Amino acid sequence: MMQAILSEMKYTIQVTVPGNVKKVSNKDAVTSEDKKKVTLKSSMKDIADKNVSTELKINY
Amino acid sequence: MKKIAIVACGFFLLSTLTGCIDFFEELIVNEKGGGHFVRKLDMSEMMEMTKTLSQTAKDSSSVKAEAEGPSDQEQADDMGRSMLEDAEAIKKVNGISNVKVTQDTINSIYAIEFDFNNDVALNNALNESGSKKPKADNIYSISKSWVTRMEHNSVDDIILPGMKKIKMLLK
Repeated sequence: MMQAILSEMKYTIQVTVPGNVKKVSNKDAVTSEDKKKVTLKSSMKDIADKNVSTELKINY
Repeated sequence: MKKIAIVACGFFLLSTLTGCIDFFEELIVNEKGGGHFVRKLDMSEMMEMTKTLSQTAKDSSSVKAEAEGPSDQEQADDMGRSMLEDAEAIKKVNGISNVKVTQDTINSIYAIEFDFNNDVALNNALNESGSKKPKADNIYSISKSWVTRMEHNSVDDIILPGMKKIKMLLK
């Protein structure tokens, strides 16, 4: 039951930087059109199972 | 037959309501390396569905006893207390200011946010909240042209306070 719950929980990380984003390490992360914001969306189960990385290296 | 229908209804709701729990973490970095941090748990959609399930159970006297348990308000109060404890600890961290806790117990939206002077203050504040595990974990690193969020601890720090409430809901 808890595994099922975890798989459906959404987890969003959003980072806004003062300059334009030049490079993001995480392939699942999305950069906004204005190049100031990076968003990573995933489920708790994927994070717990290490299917998705929550590591973000943002160069701006 | 009625009881079976209610149990089936319960399983259906549980399978759908869990998709409505949102954990949100936001970091806004300024040019000086400081910024603003927000951590939010939004269970508004889930609570709405839970109320429906609760009402369905109450409508059947045969499962009335199973429906009894902590009230929504008690569960919300528990979550609120946990966040207030975190906020009090975070307020004492050097380089942290404007600590704000949002407790929308009606819609089940809980948030904690604060300003930080640099990444050291931010990491110290984050280590003061959540699972209370051994400290010295650096979650964020901020330099002139880089922001790095480390891989570890995201689940533990975010999910434990939320899971406490969710487990209560599943009782």
